[in-house]
Amino acid sequence: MRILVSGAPVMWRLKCILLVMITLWASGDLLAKAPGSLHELGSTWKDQNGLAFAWKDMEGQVVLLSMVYTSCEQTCPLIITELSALQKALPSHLQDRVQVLIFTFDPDRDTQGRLAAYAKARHLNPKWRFLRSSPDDVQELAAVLNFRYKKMESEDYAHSNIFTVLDQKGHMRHQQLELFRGRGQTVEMIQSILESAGR
Amino acid sequence: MILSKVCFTGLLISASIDGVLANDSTMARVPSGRYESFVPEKKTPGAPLQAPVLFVKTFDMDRTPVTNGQFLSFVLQNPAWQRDKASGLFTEPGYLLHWEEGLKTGPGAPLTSPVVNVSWFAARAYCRSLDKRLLTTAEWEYVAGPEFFGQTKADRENFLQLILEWYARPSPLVLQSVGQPTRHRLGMQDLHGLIWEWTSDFSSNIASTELRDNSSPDAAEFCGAATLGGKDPTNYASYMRFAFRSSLKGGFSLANLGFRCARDVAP
Repeated sequence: MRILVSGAPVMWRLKCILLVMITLWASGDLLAKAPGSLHELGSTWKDQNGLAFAWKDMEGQVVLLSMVYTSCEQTCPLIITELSALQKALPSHLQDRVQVLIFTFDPDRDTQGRLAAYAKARHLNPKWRFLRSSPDDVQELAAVLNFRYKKMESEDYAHSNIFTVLDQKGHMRHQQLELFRGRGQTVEMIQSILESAGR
Repeated sequence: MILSKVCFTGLLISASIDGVLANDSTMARVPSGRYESFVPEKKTPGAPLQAPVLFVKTFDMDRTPVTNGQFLSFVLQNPAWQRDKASGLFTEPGYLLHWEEGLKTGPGAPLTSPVVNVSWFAARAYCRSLDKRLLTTAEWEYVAGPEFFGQTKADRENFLQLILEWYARPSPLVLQSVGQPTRHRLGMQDLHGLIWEWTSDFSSNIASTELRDNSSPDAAEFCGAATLGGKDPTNYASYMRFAFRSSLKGGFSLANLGFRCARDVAP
């Protein structure tokens, strides 16, 4: 973004800031709204083994999650690699205390059988859950995570690469918005949530 | 967004919700057709960039955007969507902030004016409560396109000019009623000139920095990405809507963003 240096835009900005401050003050009661929890989502999913998954099941569980589709040959394998790297970067006694969840945004093609085959072929950690639901529920989850995806004519998708950390109450505590970059912060956040719970 | 709140300090008008419930007579059928996207794609990695032509199936849609009155009756029946009860997962603090109180619309939100300051989640829940859904972006662009507003070149230019003039004007503090006169061939109202509207797949409007670089589209790809560069540069309004949608997040509440609903037609 270009920085505006001429006088007028700066004044305009100051006025804007002032107005926002007044408004924030005027609506302070509303701003007290508590952050939402993903455990409120009513969607139900099934994992690669056919086991049902509901968000409430994650109560008390620290979660690391991402969204992928298995027909993707470009960044999706890297997303899986990244999840694995993040988990392995944790101190060994904490690695099993974070639940890794992978959600497909291509439920038409990613059937349960296909997810199971993919998990096997990629030697995914058997504790990871590879989940699918209806396109409508996928759309809702994507909106909650600010995850963007678009099916192209080629049947491939353009999509975000986002890694999200949830605490035991389902609150979004951190999002890593790129592959590779910001790994340290993600690991630190998971570790700090787990350690503060252990105390 | 939330700036509008300070401006409404007039008399309270208690809400009457009689006669504002949506029913099927408020919908009209849209025939199937084709919508030519202006966001070029590659069919295969080596293929040239080409604007895809999307087939839109016939569907029913609300003639007008959802009003404050209709949304009030929805929150009365669905308390979880009331202003002070709605979850922070689905709404931000500006949710329904132009209403006088949680269950009182007030002078800043006439019952017949389009409801705004609603998140995508709230809009979606409203439509679902009536066994409807939001329009897809392709459906919205198709039915709001210049083809439905006249056949001649002059019609088209006039249409696009009117939209751009609207985009250039700041939103009024109190929005006009829905149901403004229309030249739409199917009688759809308020598609342009009143508010912007949520679409179900707003998050498929992707404009990351990687996509903006027209000079090297190949280098810009991430898992099959598009590069902007309009097939029809005269439909600049469509480009602006794309840019607008690409900046939205599902929880946003904006003073000029509302919605209407659609319904599938049984084959």
